[in-house]
Formats: sequence, structure tokens, C-alpha cells
Amino acid sequence: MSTTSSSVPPHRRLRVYAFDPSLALRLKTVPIHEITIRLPWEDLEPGPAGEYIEVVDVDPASGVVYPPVNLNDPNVLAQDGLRPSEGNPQFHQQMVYAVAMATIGQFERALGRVALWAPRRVPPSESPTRQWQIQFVRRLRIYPHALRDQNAYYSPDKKALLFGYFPVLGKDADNTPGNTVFTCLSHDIVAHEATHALLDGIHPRFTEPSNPDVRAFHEAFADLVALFQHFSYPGVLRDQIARTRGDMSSESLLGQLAQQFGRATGRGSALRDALGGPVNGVWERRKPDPRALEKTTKPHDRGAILVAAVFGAFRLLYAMRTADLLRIASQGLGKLPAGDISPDLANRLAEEAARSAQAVLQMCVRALDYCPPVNITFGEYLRAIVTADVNFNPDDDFARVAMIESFREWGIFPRGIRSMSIEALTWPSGAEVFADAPIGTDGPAGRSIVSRSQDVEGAARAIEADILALFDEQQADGDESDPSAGQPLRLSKWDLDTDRHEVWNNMQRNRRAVWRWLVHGKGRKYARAFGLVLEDLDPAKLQQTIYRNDWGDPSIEVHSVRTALRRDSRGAIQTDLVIEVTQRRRGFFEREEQESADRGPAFDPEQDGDFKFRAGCTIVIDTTRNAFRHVIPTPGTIADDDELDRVRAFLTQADDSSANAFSGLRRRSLRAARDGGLNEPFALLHQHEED
Amino acid sequence: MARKPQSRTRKTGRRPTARPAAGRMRAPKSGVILRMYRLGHGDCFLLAFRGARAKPVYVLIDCGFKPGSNGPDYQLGTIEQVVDDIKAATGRRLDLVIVTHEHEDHVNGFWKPDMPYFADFEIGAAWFAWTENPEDPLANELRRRHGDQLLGVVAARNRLAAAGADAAAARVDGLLAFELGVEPAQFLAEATARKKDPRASVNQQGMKLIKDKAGSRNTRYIIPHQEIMRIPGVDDVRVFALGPPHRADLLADTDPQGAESFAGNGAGARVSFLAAATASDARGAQQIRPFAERFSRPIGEAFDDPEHGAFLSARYGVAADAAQVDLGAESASNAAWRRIDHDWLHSAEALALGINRGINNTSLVLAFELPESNKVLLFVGDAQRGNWRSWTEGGWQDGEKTITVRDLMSRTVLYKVGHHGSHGATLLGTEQDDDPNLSWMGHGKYGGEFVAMITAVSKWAQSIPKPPWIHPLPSIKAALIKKCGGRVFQTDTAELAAPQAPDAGWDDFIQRTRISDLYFEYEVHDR
Repeated sequence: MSTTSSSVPPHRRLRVYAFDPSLALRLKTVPIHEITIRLPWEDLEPGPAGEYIEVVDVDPASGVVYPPVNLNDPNVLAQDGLRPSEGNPQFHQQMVYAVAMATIGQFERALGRVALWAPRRVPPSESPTRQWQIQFVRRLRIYPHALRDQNAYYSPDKKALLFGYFPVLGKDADNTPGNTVFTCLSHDIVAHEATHALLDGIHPRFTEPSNPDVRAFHEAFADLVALFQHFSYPGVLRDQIARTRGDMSSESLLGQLAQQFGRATGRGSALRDALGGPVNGVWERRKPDPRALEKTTKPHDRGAILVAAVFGAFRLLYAMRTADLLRIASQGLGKLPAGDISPDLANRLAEEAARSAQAVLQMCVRALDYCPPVNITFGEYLRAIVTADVNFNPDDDFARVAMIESFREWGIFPRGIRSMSIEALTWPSGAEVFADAPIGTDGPAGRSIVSRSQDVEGAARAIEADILALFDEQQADGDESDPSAGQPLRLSKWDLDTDRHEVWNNMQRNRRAVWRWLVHGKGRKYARAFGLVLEDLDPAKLQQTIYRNDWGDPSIEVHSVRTALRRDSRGAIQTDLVIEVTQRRRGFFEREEQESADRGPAFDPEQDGDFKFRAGCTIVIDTTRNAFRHVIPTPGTIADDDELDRVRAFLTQADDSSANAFSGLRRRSLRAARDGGLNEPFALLHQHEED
Repeated sequence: MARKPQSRTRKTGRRPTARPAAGRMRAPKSGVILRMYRLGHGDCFLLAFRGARAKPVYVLIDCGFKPGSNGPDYQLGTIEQVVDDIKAATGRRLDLVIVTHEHEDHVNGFWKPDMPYFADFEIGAAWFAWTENPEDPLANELRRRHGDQLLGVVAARNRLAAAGADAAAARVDGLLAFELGVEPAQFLAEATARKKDPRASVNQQGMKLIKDKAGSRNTRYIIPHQEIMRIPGVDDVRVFALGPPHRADLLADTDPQGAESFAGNGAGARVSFLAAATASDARGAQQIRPFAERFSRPIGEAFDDPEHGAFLSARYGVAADAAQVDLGAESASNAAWRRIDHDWLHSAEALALGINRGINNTSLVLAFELPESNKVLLFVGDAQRGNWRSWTEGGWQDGEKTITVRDLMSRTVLYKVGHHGSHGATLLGTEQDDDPNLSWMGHGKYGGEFVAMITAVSKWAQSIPKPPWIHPLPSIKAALIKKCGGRVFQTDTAELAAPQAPDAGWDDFIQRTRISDLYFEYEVHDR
């Protein structure tokens, strides 16, 4: 990089509250209440509005607009942004921008690709094709003062974060009546909501609850990112390490989320605490409980268990990596003498903590590429974490063993797994899948292309050739609703340097290319082994409720085509291709209705059921060896009635999470949902919980 | 002595020709006879105890229904039929009227502007919860807050309606109707015409009628756990009040555990905040703006601001969306779909729900204990979690021994299910739990007699659009059916389905039960 005086600076430094404004008013935390975040430099317009984010500060409840901050103003630039202030809305704008960008940075570093927001779904009424289409959304919108409520949420429909503010009316040691609490000034709440948006950009279907873990996963993941971000701020980290004498299982700000919000809403403590919480007024560490998951169906409670499990893994890793330091510091006793620890030790411990936290967070983020495309469960997420780590750190087992150990202590395990070993948890490769499953058919005749008896090498060569066809050949046939029908398509390389819109366009073209390869091309024969249902092997049996294409075969959607980073045995970074494929089926709340609908007659394509049952598969392709590196199917195919029953049972049971005295059930048919007015899945979930 | 069961007067799908036998309701020699009126989605219970010289003593608990939830459409009675029946059964003399709480579906049967249903009754005494006591400062504070909150939600509702958010406005209306006693649209029309205060609601008028008839000397405002009460004219039946707690925070029940310092703050604070924002006078709105004025521009003028107008126009959609989207282009920054003008008003729904829950939690909860068998009849009104959890905060001294709530609940043989069997109004748990719940009920010698009464018209509740009301909640209904061995009465269900393997007491239960279109009549024997 050039270092001439005229080049743009590499970073922009911005001051923010390390946690929230409440820390500035406690003697213990005054020194760490403010931090300076370093962000990659980007051209910013007032707002701030940059490449990823635009802050628009309208406050409809007060009937006013707060003019946008100009972070390029030399006076502002020269002092690392505006001074932290509760009373100046322009600082609020700066803070949401800075924290959200830091969060995006975590993702991009872990995934090695640019972050994309979920596209806008354009309704048929506005779409040129008169069908649902998608459109690129470059910037996530942030409204720092959108609501007058104890709430903040990500709106998937508006691609926006909405933050609320509310008055404190209580009077106690933590609160002064008349003060206003701004959720947008809580580092953790901003990071949490930004993570919801990032996760939605990768897995839009993870906002559809189809089992008790889906919503919980969204919450837990957002909490994890916010939590581990604490460890990337050296000043805060050193202070807290020194204060807790390096003990990660004692009460610490590092493990807590949203202190001010928690206190202002009457909890007397932080909103969430990954480590423990007050028991009869005294903080106590939460001990792993392998039965904890069985006891609750509430998303936040379940999410807390996943957070605790991941945080537990971090503690194990940190303890292992600092054991030597503690031995040195304690002359081999392993137990530190009473009193403050040496600043040198604090620095070294902080370094290890930061490294371990970074490792765990990156594992968690990378795992997103190894999840099934829909219907995520905690157990499957563990498999994704292990698989991601095996791919990225092939030679270092410690982190994944810590993860498995901690998950086991919390009773999280995948359904139907033979052992909790790394080998068993890693998602199977194509070769392993083809060894077990009835292998591909080519057309309705059900002719076997690769059979068990054939030699393994020959099979691998055949697969290699088929994958090569995806990369090298034009994918000719198109589908009728494909705007590029008729034109040949070729899979194009994912380019990291171009404009994000171009990256997105590329991804759309690649989706079509993969679709053609999978439906009409050489990929078709593998579909069955992947758990996809492409045709009626026994037409009489296949359920009519499965969504079908124009010629009556079950339709498939190539949901996403993206890249994932992997390190090969020599330590070089390789790029794998991740393909997500899903299928849909109409689900009905009443089993009888389901059965009769399954039998037929055929559905009108526009006609929906009460809910959508989805199944599919994530395929990871090794682009250097042209092999199916991992095959990650949902537990059942789209034709699997048991899995559909499971989803129905979940949707029709009582819902503790959002139940109130009037609507106690989770079920909400598609028809009701569409004209139900407010469609904000996270708004209700984030509403300050009341009973 | 059980009378012969009358044959059922109704067959499915057909209106009965015979009205139930009009005539005085007689108190059984031992125990109590009770009519659960099938008045719709709401409560109305008439009990006849045996008083001095074998004279029956009539006790009425609540009289209300959700409009539209009764009558021929649901093969149920109408308010007129029910009032006629009560007249005939009691000879227009009610010894005691108990009003559990101030919600439409519990009180709108007492009075209506053009139809003062109970005007020609004689009422001996009236019992209310302490929350109705005009001399209780805490009660007055709660009522004042309730009024403020209502004004806030009404204002938010109007803005939602004006903004075209009909579905959301309708949901808020559905909740507001409980508080106002009439449909909000009707209320608002009257309110603008006459500067009406929401506190002068139909609900209040109905309750006033009862108070006036009983006279202030015979009107009692009950604080739980204070004394063992007697029904006027019945010497041997004892009555225990379990709720509502005489504490502001538990009534609101908005605070998570461990927050004693936050008395009643949650919904109240939020509603006042919203109310101020929706206040029509500019000063009120100004007061609660979060920032000093120099930091803000009024939204109407901001687009013309020389310095920032361009930013707003570019980023906050004033330009109308093109009718057709160019899919190749990235979505416009000023697209209308990204605006958030009304999102904040959706809080109104949560707030309306909070108010509703608050009033439900003011429900007077009474346990009636029969003298010989010590069986207990438990009427919980619409008590929700906060109210339930407070029950164990006190007990009663009875000579040497203390009567606890756990004891009363374990002897319960009849449970009036809270709030139409909804979520949070019947707590489920285990017998060992520290908080009162269904498992505490129906133990001991008479545990096998345990019955539950759900005042719900499911089909009607389901017809509430977006989202429908789930009354009763299937998991609660299932728990009740299991607990009761099938002895569950539900307003809309005339058939008592015998369980597959009825227990030994089933025939006796049927013997003590009579069913008509108008009511379920059920006897509890005191032996």
C-alpha cells in the first residue's frame, strides 16, 4: 500500500461508549466507559451514509428530524468523531454507524467475502414479471430514534434497524426518574441488531420458526457476536481481566449485555449475562445443565443456553492457553496470590483472551456456511462449527474439542448422531454420502450411474467430470420464469474486489447456472443423494402439496451460491463453493386436510397452504479437487411426512414466547400473516418481556 | 338428595322449543346449587345457598359477555333471556352481587343506556375488590393511571386508523372494547360529541347501578387475607379472598422478578410516554422530546431545510415509488417502503394488552367453603399470573390453626377457570411448586369430584381477525380435562363428553348436572 501523504488514510477513528452511557457514571468504570473504534476508511456522506450503512435520523413520534452528522468535517475528523454524549443526537448517529461497521468487519474478516444484506422482495404488483422478484439493497438503514418503547429490532421488510428510547420512571440506586434511555447508545444492542441483519443476509429462511431452535438461534448468534466484540477492545479487556484477576468465570462486564437497558427495565442487572446472574441478590455463576434445553421453549431462554455453551468453550480454551502463564506467575502453584495481579500478567492474559475470543467468534461465524439451508437446530449448528473449524484449522483440534465438550455439558447434540467425536460431527463428504445412499438416477427410469460395486476411483473421476462441467461448461437450458432463458450461462468467479452490487448480480447469475446444472445438467443424478426430490419415481405417491414447476415436477430453488474459505494441508487458503438448495411444500394445520391435499388434485401454483414446509441441502464443493466436500441435508426430504408433522406440531403448539392472554398459539397461517398488518418477526420477540 | 336429571332440551343444530322450567331456584338441603349462564364469551354465575329457615340465598357473580358471542348463532342464550331467568329464579331479589373486575365481559349485562337490565332487582349487598374503593388512595391512583393510559391508547389508535393501518387499529380496538364497555368507534363518536371521559364507561355505569342498589352501607370493598367473610344470610359458609393483592406492582405485573423497586412502572410508564406523544397540545409533546430543540427540525419543514433538505429527500422517500421496479438497479434510497412513519404506533398494541392484563389482575378472587365437607368453590375472575402469585402472601387465622391458600386450593372441587382458559390465567405446574397452580387443586377425599368451568365461546373467539383469540388455550383445556377426568363445562359446548373410561363418580356427576341452552346447573353436595 502506498504511504504517500496524498493517499487516503487506512482508518477512520470514532469514539463510542464502550458499553453504554451508564458506565460513565460509575467510578469503577469511568476509565473504560469510552473507547475509540478503528474502522476501515470509506467515503462517507452526511448521515453517516457509506457503502454498507445509512443512518437516517427521523423521529416520527416527536415529529422531528435530527440533522445528519458529517463525519468528514475536519473539526470532527481531527478529534476522532464527536465526543460521547447522550444529549446530542449526532453522536448517536456516529455511534450506531461505528458499532454496526465494527460488527460487519467481524463478519467479513471471518468469512473472507463482502457482506450482503438480504435483498428486497419485490411484490408481483411492482415487479415487471408480475411475479415475486428480488432486488439488491446496498445499505442497511439505521433509525436511531424510531420508537418510543423499550424495544429495538431489525426489520427484515424494511432492511432497517429501528431503535427505541424510553423514560426511566423508577427511582433506585441504578435509576433516576426522568432520564431517557436510548437503546441506540448501547454497544451491545446495536451489535446485536446489526448481527440479525447480517445473519438474515446469509440465511433469510432463519427468520421462519419451524422448530424451537430457529428463533433462539437468531437471538443467540446476535448475542454471541455482541459479546465477543467486547474482547476486541483492548482497554476494556485489560481492565476487566485485571479486575477479575484473569478469572473468566467470575462476574465481569465482558460476559454481560446491555447493562443500562437491563437496569432501567427493572432487572437490577444487565439484560443478559452469559456467565451467570443474580441469585437472591448475589451474582452466581451459572453451571452447565445438560437438561436445561428440555425445560424451556422460549427463544431467549433457549438462546441463552447456546450462548452459555459457546462461552463455555471460550472459557475452556482460554483456561488451556493461559495455564502456563498462571503457573509462571504463581511459581508453579497454579493459584495466584491474593491481591491485584501484575499489569504484565494482565496484559498477557488479555492478549490470550482476545485471541481465544477471536478464534471462537470466527468459528461461530464461519459455521454459517456449513448450516442446512432451513430449519436450523443447535445440534446441527454444533456440526457446522466443527466442520467449519476442521476446514479452516485442519491441524489444531483444541478449539473444536473445547466446543464439543462445552456443548455436551449443556446437553446440546445433533439428532441421530452415533458419537460426539469430531469425525462423527463433521458433515459427511459426497463420497461418504454416495456410499450409503441410493446413488443418483438419471431420469425417471431410475438407472444407476455410479453403483456401489464400481471402483471408488472411477466414481470419483466421474464426479470430478460432472463438477467440472458446472465450472467450465455453459449451462444451456433455462427455466421459463428465468429472465435469461435461452442465453447460455456460465458459473462466474466470485470477485472480491468489485462493487458489491456486481458481486450480488454475479451471485444471481450463478444461482441460475447451478440451477440449470442441477435440474437439466450433469448435477441431476446426484440430487437424490443430496436429499432433493426432482421427479416422481412413483408418481402416484409423491404428494401434490409439493410446489411444482410448470411441467409438473417438484420445483427446486437454488437459494444461494457463495464462497467459503478453507485452509489446505499446506496452510494455503482455498476457496470452496457453497450451494444452498431448497424445496417447498404446502403444509396444513389439520392433518386430515394435509392428507387429502397430499393426494391431490394438483394445486394452482399461486395457491398456498397454512404454512410452508421447507427441506433441502447445502452442498460444499471443493473447487481445487472438484469433489463434493460436504453434503449437509435437512433431516428429511420434502416428501418426508414425519418431518412435516414435526414442523406442524411445533407450529400448532402453545407458544410461550409470544403468548399473551388472547393469542397463545404459534400458528399463524400464511393467509392471516399476509394481511395481518405489522410483519416484524423481531419486534415482538424483542419487546421488553412482560407476563 | 339429587333430583332426576332433566332430559336435555337441545339437540344439535336446533333451537329448543321449550324454555327451561321457569320457577324459583331452590337451594339444596346441603351444599350449593349453581347456574353457569351460557351468556356468551363472558361470565355470569348464580348460586343458591341455603339460608336461615331454609330460605334460599342468591349470590350473583358477574354478568357480562362479548357482544356478538351469544344468541342463536351459537345456540346460546341472550342477555334478555338470562336476565329473565335470573328474575324468575330469584324473584328479583339478589342477596349478594359480586363483581370481580371492570371488564365488559363481566359487567355489561348489568346496565346499558337503553336497557338497565338489573334496574328492577332488589340487591341486598355488593362485593367489589378494593380497587373499586373510592376511599383507597392506592385504588384511586390505579384508576387515575388507568384513565391516562386509556387516553394514550385511544389517541394512538386514532393515529393508526388515520394512517390506514386498519389491521393494527382493529387489534387495538378489540382490546379497548374490554375497557370501554362498547366498541371503540361508538365510544369515540360519543366522546367527541360530549367530551366524554373514558372512565365514565358503560362498565362503570353498570357497577354504579349495583353499588347504588346495595347502598353504600352494604357495599364492601375487599382486601385479601384480611378476615374470613360470611355471605349475608348464610351463617355457615365461609368466604376467603385470595386476591387482588393490595400492592400496585403486582397488579400491573409488568416487572420481571427481583424488581421490587419498580412499583407499577412498566406499562404505566410506557403508556404515559406514548400518551404524551400522541397528545394534541403541542406543549405536552414538546415536554417529552428527547433532545434540546436546537438539535432538531420539525419533520414538515426539514425537507425544505437549505442545509439538510437534500439529504432527507434523497434518503427518506418523498418521491413516489415508480409503479414498476427496475430489477437491475439497486433499490432506491428514498423508496417509500423503507419509511417508518407509523412503526412506533404499533407499540400501542402492546400497551393496550398491558392495560387489559392490569385490569384482569384486579380480579377479586374468592373461595367459598362449605361447612360440613369443607369443599371449596374457587372463583378467580380473570386473574392472571401476577394475581395468582400473590395468593400465598397471606393466610387466615381460624382459632388455633391457620388456613393457608394451599389448603383451600387442595380442597377445591369447583374451579371457575380464569379468563376464558387463556394463556397465563390458569397457571400450570406441579404440586411441589411454590406458586399456586392447577396442580394444587382437587386433592383429598373429594378430589375426584373436581370440575372446571370455562366461560368461552371458542368459535366466536376464533372469528376475531388477525390474530384470532385462542380461548381456551388447547394446552390448558387438555390439562383441565385430564385433571377433571372429563368434568369440564365450557359455555359453547352442550355435550358433556364422557371420558373413554369414566371413573366411578361419573354417574353421580351426571346426576348432579342439568344442561339447557341457557345454563349449566350443577350441585355441589356438602357431604
